[in-house]
Amino acid sequence: MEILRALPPSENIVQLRHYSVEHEPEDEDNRQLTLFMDYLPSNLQHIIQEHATGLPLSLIQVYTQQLLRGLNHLAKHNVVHRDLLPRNILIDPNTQCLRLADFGCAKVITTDSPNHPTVGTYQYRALELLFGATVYNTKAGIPFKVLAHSKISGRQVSSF
Amino acid sequence: MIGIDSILAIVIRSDLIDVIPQQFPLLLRAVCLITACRRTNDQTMDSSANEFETSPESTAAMSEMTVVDTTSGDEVQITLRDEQPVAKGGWSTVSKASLSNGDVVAVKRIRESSHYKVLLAVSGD
Repeated sequence: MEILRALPPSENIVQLRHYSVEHEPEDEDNRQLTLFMDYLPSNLQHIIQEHATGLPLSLIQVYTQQLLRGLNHLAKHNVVHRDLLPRNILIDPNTQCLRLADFGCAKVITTDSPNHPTVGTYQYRALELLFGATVYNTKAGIPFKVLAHSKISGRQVSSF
Repeated sequence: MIGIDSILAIVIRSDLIDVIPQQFPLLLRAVCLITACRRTNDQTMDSSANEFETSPESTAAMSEMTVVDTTSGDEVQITLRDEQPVAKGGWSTVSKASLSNGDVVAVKRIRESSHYKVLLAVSGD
Protein backbone atom coordinates (compact mmCIF):
# COMPACT_ATOMS: atom_id res chain seq x y z
CA MET A 1 0.00 0.00 0.00
CA GLU A 2 2.85 2.39 0.82
CA ILE A 3 4.24 2.06 -2.69
CA LEU A 4 0.87 2.67 -4.33
CA ARG A 5 0.35 5.70 -2.08
CA ALA A 6 3.73 7.16 -2.91
CA LEU A 7 3.71 6.41 -6.63
CA PRO A 8 2.65 9.35 -8.82
CA PRO A 9 -0.46 8.54 -10.86
CA SER A 10 -0.08 6.87 -14.22
CA GLU A 11 -2.77 5.82 -16.64
CA ASN A 12 -1.22 2.35 -16.79
CA ILE A 13 -0.94 1.74 -13.05
CA VAL A 14 -3.99 0.97 -10.96
CA GLN A 15 -4.73 3.98 -8.74
CA LEU A 16 -5.31 3.79 -5.01
CA ARG A 17 -8.16 6.21 -4.28
CA HIS A 18 -8.94 5.59 -0.62
CA TYR A 19 -7.81 3.25 2.12
CA SER A 20 -8.60 2.35 5.69
CA VAL A 21 -6.70 0.47 8.38
CA GLU A 22 -8.57 -1.30 11.16
CA HIS A 23 -6.78 -2.93 14.08
CA GLU A 24 -8.39 -5.85 15.82
CA PRO A 25 -9.27 -4.80 19.38
CA GLU A 26 -7.92 -7.97 21.02
CA ASP A 27 -4.73 -8.21 18.96
CA GLU A 28 -2.95 -5.09 17.78
CA ASP A 29 -0.68 -7.19 15.57
CA ASN A 30 -3.60 -8.18 13.39
CA ARG A 31 -5.15 -5.56 11.19
CA GLN A 32 -7.32 -5.32 8.12
CA LEU A 33 -6.40 -3.05 5.25
CA THR A 34 -9.15 -1.98 2.89
CA LEU A 35 -8.00 -0.49 -0.39
CA PHE A 36 -10.31 1.26 -2.85
CA MET A 37 -8.88 1.18 -6.34
CA ASP A 38 -9.86 1.53 -9.98
CA TYR A 39 -12.09 -1.30 -11.15
CA LEU A 40 -11.26 -2.98 -14.45
CA PRO A 41 -13.52 -5.90 -15.35
CA SER A 42 -10.98 -8.28 -16.87
CA ASN A 43 -7.31 -9.19 -16.91
CA LEU A 44 -4.75 -10.45 -19.41
CA GLN A 45 -5.20 -14.05 -18.29
CA HIS A 46 -8.90 -13.97 -19.15
CA ILE A 47 -8.23 -12.18 -22.45
CA ILE A 48 -5.67 -14.87 -23.40
CA GLN A 49 -8.14 -17.62 -22.51
CA GLU A 50 -10.79 -15.98 -24.68
CA HIS A 51 -8.43 -16.03 -27.68
CA ALA A 52 -7.46 -19.68 -27.83
CA THR A 53 -5.58 -19.27 -31.11
CA GLY A 54 -3.70 -16.19 -30.00
CA LEU A 55 -4.40 -12.49 -29.77
CA PRO A 56 -4.74 -10.35 -32.90
CA LEU A 57 -1.60 -8.34 -33.64
CA SER A 58 -3.45 -5.05 -33.09
CA LEU A 59 -4.37 -6.06 -29.53
CA ILE A 60 -0.82 -7.24 -28.83
CA GLN A 61 0.46 -3.84 -29.93
CA VAL A 62 -2.07 -1.95 -27.81
CA TYR A 63 -1.43 -4.03 -24.71
CA THR A 64 2.34 -4.16 -25.10
CA GLN A 65 2.61 -0.40 -25.49
CA GLN A 66 0.60 0.19 -22.32
CA LEU A 67 2.45 -2.55 -20.43
CA LEU A 68 5.79 -0.98 -21.28
CA ARG A 69 4.51 2.47 -20.32
CA GLY A 70 3.47 1.12 -16.94
CA LEU A 71 6.80 -0.62 -16.41
CA ASN A 72 8.65 2.51 -17.49
CA HIS A 73 6.72 4.52 -14.91
CA LEU A 74 7.71 2.02 -12.21
CA ALA A 75 11.36 2.02 -13.34
CA LYS A 76 11.47 5.83 -13.22
CA HIS A 77 10.55 5.65 -9.56
CA ASN A 78 12.85 2.70 -8.77
CA VAL A 79 9.95 0.39 -8.11
CA VAL A 80 10.17 -3.28 -9.07
CA HIS A 81 6.83 -5.09 -9.25
CA ARG A 82 8.18 -8.63 -8.64
CA ASP A 83 4.85 -10.34 -9.30
CA LEU A 84 4.14 -9.48 -12.90
CA LEU A 85 1.89 -12.12 -14.44
CA PRO A 86 -1.16 -12.06 -16.72
CA ARG A 87 -3.58 -12.16 -13.77
CA ASN A 88 -2.11 -8.94 -12.34
CA ILE A 89 -2.44 -7.04 -15.60
CA LEU A 90 -5.95 -5.61 -15.51
CA ILE A 91 -7.75 -4.78 -18.74
CA ASP A 92 -10.99 -3.04 -19.60
CA PRO A 93 -12.18 -4.90 -22.73
CA ASN A 94 -14.41 -1.95 -23.72
CA THR A 95 -11.64 0.64 -23.86
CA GLN A 96 -8.64 -1.76 -24.08
CA CYS A 97 -7.13 0.21 -21.20
CA LEU A 98 -4.43 -1.76 -19.38
CA ARG A 99 -3.23 -1.19 -15.82
CA LEU A 100 -0.72 -3.01 -13.65
CA ALA A 101 -2.13 -4.16 -10.32
CA ASP A 102 -1.29 -6.06 -7.13
CA PHE A 103 1.75 -4.38 -5.65
CA GLY A 104 1.88 -6.74 -2.68
CA CYS A 105 5.37 -7.95 -3.67
CA ALA A 106 6.59 -4.62 -5.02
CA LYS A 107 9.62 -2.89 -3.60
CA VAL A 108 11.52 0.34 -4.02
CA ILE A 109 14.99 -0.78 -5.04
CA THR A 110 17.88 0.82 -3.22
CA THR A 111 21.57 0.14 -3.63
CA ASP A 112 22.23 -0.39 0.08
CA SER A 113 19.80 -3.20 0.84
CA PRO A 114 19.87 -6.70 -0.59
CA ASN A 115 16.75 -8.24 -2.08
CA HIS A 116 15.27 -11.67 -1.63
CA PRO A 117 15.24 -13.73 -4.84
CA THR A 118 12.23 -15.89 -3.92
CA VAL A 119 9.56 -13.21 -4.00
CA GLY A 120 6.62 -13.37 -6.37
CA THR A 121 4.99 -16.12 -8.37
CA TYR A 122 7.62 -18.73 -9.18
CA GLN A 123 6.35 -19.48 -12.65
CA TYR A 124 6.79 -15.89 -13.79
CA ARG A 125 9.95 -15.05 -11.89
CA ALA A 126 12.76 -13.45 -13.88
CA LEU A 127 15.57 -15.82 -14.72
CA GLU A 128 18.22 -14.00 -12.72
CA LEU A 129 16.09 -14.56 -9.62
CA LEU A 130 15.99 -18.29 -10.40
CA PHE A 131 19.78 -18.10 -10.21
CA GLY A 132 19.42 -16.58 -6.74
CA ALA A 133 20.35 -12.98 -7.57
CA THR A 134 19.95 -10.70 -4.54
CA VAL A 135 21.24 -7.57 -6.22
CA TYR A 136 18.97 -6.57 -9.03
CA ASN A 137 17.39 -3.52 -10.55
CA THR A 138 13.99 -2.58 -11.92
CA LYS A 139 14.49 -4.92 -14.87
CA ALA A 140 14.11 -7.88 -12.54
CA GLY A 141 10.60 -9.18 -12.23
CA ILE A 142 9.98 -8.43 -15.86
CA PRO A 143 9.56 -11.89 -17.32
CA PHE A 144 8.75 -10.16 -20.54
CA LYS A 145 9.44 -13.18 -22.67
CA VAL A 146 6.83 -15.27 -20.83
CA LEU A 147 4.27 -12.48 -20.98
CA ALA A 148 4.94 -11.71 -24.62
CA HIS A 149 4.81 -15.38 -25.53
CA SER A 150 1.52 -15.78 -23.67
CA LYS A 151 0.04 -12.92 -25.63
CA ILE A 152 1.35 -13.98 -29.01
CA SER A 153 0.58 -17.68 -28.80
CA GLY A 154 -2.57 -17.52 -26.69
CA ARG A 155 -1.05 -20.07 -24.32
CA GLN A 156 -0.10 -19.71 -20.70
CA VAL A 157 2.63 -22.25 -21.20
CA SER A 158 5.45 -22.44 -23.64
CA SER A 159 7.12 -25.82 -23.76
CA PHE A 160 10.20 -26.92 -25.56
CA MET B 1 13.42 -30.43 -28.82
CA ILE B 2 14.23 -26.76 -28.79
CA GLY B 3 11.60 -24.66 -30.55
CA ILE B 4 11.56 -21.12 -31.86
CA ASP B 5 10.24 -19.77 -28.58
CA SER B 6 13.13 -21.36 -26.72
CA ILE B 7 15.61 -19.70 -29.04
CA LEU B 8 13.74 -16.42 -28.57
CA ALA B 9 13.95 -16.85 -24.78
CA ILE B 10 17.65 -17.50 -24.91
CA VAL B 11 18.32 -14.59 -27.26
CA ILE B 12 16.24 -12.19 -25.15
CA ARG B 13 17.85 -13.27 -21.89
CA SER B 14 21.35 -13.78 -23.28
CA ASP B 15 22.45 -11.00 -20.91
CA LEU B 16 22.00 -13.54 -18.13
CA ILE B 17 25.03 -15.41 -19.34
CA ASP B 18 26.97 -13.04 -17.09
CA VAL B 19 24.91 -14.05 -14.04
CA ILE B 20 26.15 -17.61 -14.29
CA PRO B 21 29.50 -18.08 -12.51
CA GLN B 22 32.33 -16.85 -14.69
CA GLN B 23 34.54 -19.82 -13.91
CA PHE B 24 32.15 -22.07 -15.87
CA PRO B 25 33.21 -22.62 -19.48
CA LEU B 26 31.05 -20.72 -21.96
CA LEU B 27 29.36 -23.91 -23.17
CA LEU B 28 28.40 -24.94 -19.63
CA ARG B 29 27.02 -21.45 -18.94
CA ALA B 30 24.93 -21.71 -22.10
CA VAL B 31 23.56 -25.06 -20.93
CA CYS B 32 22.68 -23.50 -17.55
CA LEU B 33 20.80 -20.73 -19.35
CA ILE B 34 18.87 -23.20 -21.53
CA THR B 35 18.00 -25.22 -18.42
CA ALA B 36 16.71 -22.12 -16.64
CA CYS B 37 14.60 -21.18 -19.67
CA ARG B 38 13.12 -24.67 -19.75
CA ARG B 39 12.46 -24.59 -16.02
CA THR B 40 10.64 -21.27 -16.25
CA ASN B 41 8.46 -22.44 -19.07
CA ASP B 42 7.62 -25.79 -17.47
CA GLN B 43 6.71 -24.10 -14.23
CA THR B 44 4.16 -21.94 -15.98
CA MET B 45 1.94 -24.98 -16.42
CA ASP B 46 0.31 -24.66 -13.01
CA SER B 47 -0.27 -20.94 -13.37
CA SER B 48 -3.99 -21.48 -12.84
CA ALA B 49 -3.42 -23.01 -9.39
CA ASN B 50 -4.06 -19.69 -7.71
CA GLU B 51 -6.80 -18.67 -10.12
CA PHE B 52 -9.44 -16.50 -8.54
CA GLU B 53 -13.02 -17.60 -8.52
CA THR B 54 -15.77 -15.19 -9.44
CA SER B 55 -19.00 -15.25 -7.52
CA PRO B 56 -22.47 -14.06 -8.47
CA GLU B 57 -23.23 -13.21 -4.82
CA SER B 58 -24.13 -9.59 -4.38
CA THR B 59 -24.70 -7.59 -1.24
CA ALA B 60 -27.47 -5.09 -1.82
CA ALA B 61 -26.98 -3.45 1.57
CA MET B 62 -25.18 -0.15 1.73
CA SER B 63 -22.29 0.31 4.08
CA GLU B 64 -20.69 3.52 5.24
CA MET B 65 -16.98 3.69 5.91
CA THR B 66 -14.56 6.30 7.10
CA VAL B 67 -11.51 6.14 4.85
CA VAL B 68 -8.44 8.20 4.02
CA ASP B 69 -8.43 10.00 0.68
CA THR B 70 -5.07 9.19 -0.89
CA THR B 71 -4.74 12.50 -2.75
CA SER B 72 -5.57 14.88 0.09
CA GLY B 73 -4.77 12.69 3.10
CA ASP B 74 -8.09 13.72 4.66
CA GLU B 75 -10.56 11.35 6.28
CA VAL B 76 -13.73 11.13 4.25
CA GLN B 77 -16.98 9.22 4.55
CA ILE B 78 -17.91 6.96 1.64
CA THR B 79 -20.97 4.83 0.96
CA LEU B 80 -20.56 1.45 -0.68
CA ARG B 81 -23.41 -0.32 -2.40
CA ASP B 82 -23.96 -3.42 -4.55
CA GLU B 83 -20.78 -5.01 -3.28
CA GLN B 84 -20.01 -8.16 -5.23
CA PRO B 85 -17.07 -10.50 -4.59
CA VAL B 86 -14.98 -11.00 -7.72
CA ALA B 87 -11.71 -12.54 -6.57
CA LYS B 88 -10.13 -14.30 -3.64
CA GLY B 89 -6.48 -14.89 -2.93
CA GLY B 90 -4.46 -16.24 -0.04
CA TRP B 91 -4.28 -12.97 1.90
CA SER B 92 -7.00 -10.91 0.36
CA THR B 93 -10.42 -10.70 -1.18
CA VAL B 94 -11.49 -8.31 -3.93
CA SER B 95 -15.00 -7.00 -4.46
CA LYS B 96 -16.61 -4.73 -6.99
CA ALA B 97 -18.77 -1.98 -5.49
CA SER B 98 -20.40 1.31 -6.35
CA LEU B 99 -19.76 4.57 -4.54
CA SER B 100 -22.51 7.08 -3.89
CA ASN B 101 -21.22 9.28 -6.73
CA GLY B 102 -21.74 6.39 -9.18
CA ASP B 103 -18.10 5.39 -9.57
CA VAL B 104 -17.41 1.66 -9.64
CA VAL B 105 -14.37 0.68 -7.60
CA ALA B 106 -12.47 -2.45 -6.66
CA VAL B 107 -12.40 -2.99 -2.90
CA LYS B 108 -9.43 -5.08 -1.78
CA ARG B 109 -9.45 -6.34 1.79
CA ILE B 110 -6.14 -7.62 3.11
CA ARG B 111 -5.88 -9.25 6.51
CA GLU B 112 -2.43 -8.72 7.97
CA SER B 113 -1.37 -11.04 10.75
CA SER B 114 1.91 -11.62 12.56
CA HIS B 115 2.60 -14.48 10.12
CA TYR B 116 2.15 -12.14 7.15
CA LYS B 117 4.63 -9.69 8.69
CA VAL B 118 7.18 -12.47 9.18
CA LEU B 119 6.86 -13.29 5.47
CA LEU B 120 7.42 -9.65 4.56
CA ALA B 121 10.46 -9.51 6.81
CA VAL B 122 11.91 -12.65 5.24
CA SER B 123 11.33 -11.22 1.78
CA GLY B 124 13.44 -8.22 2.72
CA ASP B 125 10.63 -5.65 2.52
